[in-house]
Amino acid sequence: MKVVITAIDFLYNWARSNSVWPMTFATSCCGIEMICTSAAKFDIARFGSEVFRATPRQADLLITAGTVTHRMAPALVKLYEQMPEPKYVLAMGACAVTGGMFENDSYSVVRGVDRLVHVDVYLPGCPPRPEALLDALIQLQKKIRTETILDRKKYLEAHKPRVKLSDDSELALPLDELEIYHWGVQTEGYELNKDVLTRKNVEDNCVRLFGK
Amino acid sequence: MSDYLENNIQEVAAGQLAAILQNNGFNVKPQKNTADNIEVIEVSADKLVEVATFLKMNVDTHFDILFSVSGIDAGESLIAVYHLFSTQFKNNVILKVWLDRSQPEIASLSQVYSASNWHERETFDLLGIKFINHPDLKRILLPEEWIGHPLRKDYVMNDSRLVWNKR
Repeated sequence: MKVVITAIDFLYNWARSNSVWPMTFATSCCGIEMICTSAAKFDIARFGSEVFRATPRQADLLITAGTVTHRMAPALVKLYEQMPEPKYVLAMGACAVTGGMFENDSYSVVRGVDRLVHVDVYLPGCPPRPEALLDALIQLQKKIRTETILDRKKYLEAHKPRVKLSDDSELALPLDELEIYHWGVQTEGYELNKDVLTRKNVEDNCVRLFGK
Repeated sequence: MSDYLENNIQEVAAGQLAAILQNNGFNVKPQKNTADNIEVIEVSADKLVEVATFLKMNVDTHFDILFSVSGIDAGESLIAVYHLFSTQFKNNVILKVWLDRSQPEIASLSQVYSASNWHERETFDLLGIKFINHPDLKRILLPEEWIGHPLRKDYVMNDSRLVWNKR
């Protein structure tokens, strides 16, 4: 049985990973690099991804090329929900990874698209060069080749949007079971942030949390 | 046509536009010119529409384009700033209106210059200046239920609905 599934996985993943169709989602200057990547000089067609679709219903990969603002966030989540499974997200550029130069004081910018949706590949750079985007695509292909159809249920669970949309609100609202990701560290149970950081405080907290 | 335009470009001396306005009975105050020698005129809030209509219609001024409406937070007061351009005389003028911070209200220019419609919505969105008689005064850049006006100096963002976006 395992042999059969492995063989199916191999064929299935080979087909999928060599025809990743991206969606056109260029919100700022990273979009220029994305266009450049699809043009003749860098030629994303060598990796089977030349078919940039203008509709989410025919796309496998959402390349979030650029800054995502609060005004754009509901549109992004809506497009993500319309994409057919299995779907992947590539956060391209510093703004899409963490908020970039808008990270500290901006009132309007979402601090990374991973606050909104599940991100598979992070691609830093401001903006990243076309070669970097090609490398990120190759990383995504490697990731797709490791998947198995037995884990599909787990995959679907992990790829739900992290905010919810409302009919009478233009803001993307938090889920009822709220999860905030701070650089991969959950705030709950992470008590070092609450106090003023002095040497003694840190020592005491470390002893309490992790033992001597 | 181009010969006509070249022969009819007039150099506007400093203070000339304010003098034209004052000769026609408008109570305006000339301010210091900008670094690139554009004339700045202070207008009172209740006279803005009349001044703008005069500057647009008068054959000596003929400011036919409004290319920017913006605002400044100057502490006690808010300032609405209007940039006008004349395609015939190739010159600019800046109108400034000082507004009370507690009640920043000013008449809309959208009846005179239709270009001011979206510019005024943006100024309302970011600085909270209310434009009376505007046909569709709602937010243009931020979501509609946003709390506060972000370009004011005392703005603090503490919207609990956006807790997922905290650092």
